[in-house]
Amino acid sequence: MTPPEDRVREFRRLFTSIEEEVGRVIVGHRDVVRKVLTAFFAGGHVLIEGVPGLGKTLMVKSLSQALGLSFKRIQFTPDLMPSDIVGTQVLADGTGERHFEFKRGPVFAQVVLADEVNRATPKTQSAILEAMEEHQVTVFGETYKLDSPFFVLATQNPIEIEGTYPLPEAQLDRFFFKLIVHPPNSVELAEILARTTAEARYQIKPVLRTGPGQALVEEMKTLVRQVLLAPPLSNYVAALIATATPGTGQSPVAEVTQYLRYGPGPRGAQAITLGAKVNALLDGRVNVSFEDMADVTLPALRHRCLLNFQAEAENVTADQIIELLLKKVSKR
Amino acid sequence: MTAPSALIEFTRQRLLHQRQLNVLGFFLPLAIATGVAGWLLLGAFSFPSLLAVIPPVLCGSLLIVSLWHLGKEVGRETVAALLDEKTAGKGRFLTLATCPETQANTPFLTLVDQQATSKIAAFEPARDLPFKLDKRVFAALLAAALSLLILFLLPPTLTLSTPGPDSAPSTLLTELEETARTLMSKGATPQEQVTGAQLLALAQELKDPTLSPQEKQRLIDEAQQRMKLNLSLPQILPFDLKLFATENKNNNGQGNQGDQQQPDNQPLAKANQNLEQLKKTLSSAAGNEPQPGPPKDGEQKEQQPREAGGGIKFNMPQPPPGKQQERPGQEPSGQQQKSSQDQTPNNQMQTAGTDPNRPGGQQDQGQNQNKNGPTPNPQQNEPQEKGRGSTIGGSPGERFLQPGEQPGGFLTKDARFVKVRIPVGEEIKGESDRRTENRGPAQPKVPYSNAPLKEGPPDQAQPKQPIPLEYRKILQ
Repeated sequence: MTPPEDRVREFRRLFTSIEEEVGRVIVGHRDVVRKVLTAFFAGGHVLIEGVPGLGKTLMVKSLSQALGLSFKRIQFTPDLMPSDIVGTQVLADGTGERHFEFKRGPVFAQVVLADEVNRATPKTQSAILEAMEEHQVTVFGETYKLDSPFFVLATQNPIEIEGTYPLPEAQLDRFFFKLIVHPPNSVELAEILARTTAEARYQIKPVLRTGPGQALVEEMKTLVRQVLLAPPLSNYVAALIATATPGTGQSPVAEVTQYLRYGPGPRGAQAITLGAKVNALLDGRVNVSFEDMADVTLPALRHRCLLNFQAEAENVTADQIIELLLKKVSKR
Repeated sequence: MTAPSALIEFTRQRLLHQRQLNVLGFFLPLAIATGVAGWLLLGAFSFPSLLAVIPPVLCGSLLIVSLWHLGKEVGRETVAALLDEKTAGKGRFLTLATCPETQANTPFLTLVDQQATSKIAAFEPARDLPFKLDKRVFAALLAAALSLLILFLLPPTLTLSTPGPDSAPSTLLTELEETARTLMSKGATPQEQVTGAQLLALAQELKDPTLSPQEKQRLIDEAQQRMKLNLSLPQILPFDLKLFATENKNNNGQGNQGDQQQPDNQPLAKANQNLEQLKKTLSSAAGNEPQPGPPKDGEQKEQQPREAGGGIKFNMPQPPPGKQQERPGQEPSGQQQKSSQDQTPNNQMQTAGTDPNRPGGQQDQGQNQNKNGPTPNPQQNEPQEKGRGSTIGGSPGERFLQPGEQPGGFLTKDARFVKVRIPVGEEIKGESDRRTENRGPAQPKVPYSNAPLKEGPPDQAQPKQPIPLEYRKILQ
């Protein structure tokens, strides 16, 4: 049996290799790339919000290539049907007999990019969300398992609101992290131009090979779950979630009651814990610390804290409330 | 220390001791200061001892509770988190200190232990956990020192060393009570027993804080008067003291038995000494001027007793012809010098009664012993009404002497004197019509009093005593 320190060392090596490889193609967004990888190895899915043209698709594609995993992109439009995502049965004519054959949809990939998921109808959205949660799809009464690992990266455009269907709260809760991609600065933009407008373009070298890489990914995911979590830390996470929930009478933060309509649930606590474990492994430890948790609390809770009308009227964001919680909740 | 668990335990003990010292440093000075303050204030002011005990007991209880609670406060989790902070352990010590025992021997916990061990070298207790006194300790020490300094610098009237203006020294009162009890012992004479009872009652009265120093001095003067009377004339007692009559017959008008203390009567001397000390203490406490010296010959009027608006008029026997020139009330210089307190009417009454030169103490041989009724001679009383209380006119008080009795003192057998207190009386001084409230004891015009003797034997039913003329108007 491989000693834990070797496993940790290997995890760190692979993680940083993938991160560096993706960084050769994507300019900037180092934190976004790291969080995406964190969510991937934690077994979750990511929702990215950013204006078009920031390299979201390229980032996911590069990630899949570095991981040696299959990649499919789904562009969500208002007329997109669920069968366009999960697949459908088509009439096939082979060997002289006609029969229905299931044609798999783009969801049957290991890494799926659901671009502008808020543009599709709720019915279509539910199709991808079911796949995210169940890792399987049901078509005409038959269930088809999805490949493992299965990672969905959905994007939202914050600019275009007309003709969009915002994801419901229950669906938002299924995303592990919500990351916000900011426009690049001038230095990063110059670098982008240099890389994308030149003749030669860098090709991603896969860090994990297809086939054996899948087993390695699974092993890395298992290692994440084996990281130790001390009881004070789990109590801290529980206190954080309880404090962020309005209407229970346990919140000593007045802004929670004033600005939040709904608070995070158990999935938020799971996201914080698993994300902190990945951070601990990246630091060479097999135990979680308060700093690990603080690093992942914002992306884990910002889409789970639903603001009320007063918050929207006063331009109070969920990030501000979460930062307030981190300051006020005691670690002991 | 090579093991993280040992470091955690060592750090816990060190932290616990530091906090215990801080708690002691906070509560102990406060307890001592409140105890000393309560003790000092208890002596200066009169309030229940329980109030003085409550603050130090409260501080002591809080100290014990805090020390007990410290044991819970400084737990392994707290110490481990502190070590993580000091050594950049990043939760390693916390994980080791709080991980459940089910994971005790897992490979992952072993790896955590190994990583934490590598951090031990970076920890120095003296540098990372220096002993610092809490700011509250300094504040408590400063508050205690300031409070004690203020209490010790209090004015003398508020300290134990100086008694209050209205309080008699408790030690003197205690001695007086002991002397009184000695006098009341079984082996004492009846006079001494009576004196002892009076002294005991006096001691109880002097303990009353509502009395002013002047009132206490007056009580002491009265007690001294009674003491001298009791000891000089045992006939005053209600029971038959014929046994002692021969002693009085032999006195020959000397009468100063009160001044002639028995050489071996130490309790009495001690009692008198206590009373004198009490008077001095009260005088100094009240800021009274010392009593003026003995009256001179030319100051006879000043020495005369204060006239009371009412009171009892007395008939005093006229002085013998040879000595009538002497102004009544004038005491021999020798006797006057005996005590500086002869100014009070009581003293004058007493000493005058025992003064052989005074009219009352004169022998009445050859005088017309008038055994008439007790109606006082108005003529004799006129000088008294004029404010010259001791001027006795009229016929000598022959009626106060029975045949065969020696005029040993002004209080002869079965004689009795009465002191009347008029609550709101009139005091007429001279010819002034000014009326003042007389709340003190009644001051007779003469320093002694007398009452008509009954004609029959003592055990005979006494006739109704006629009301003196001066009273008749008042009582009508």
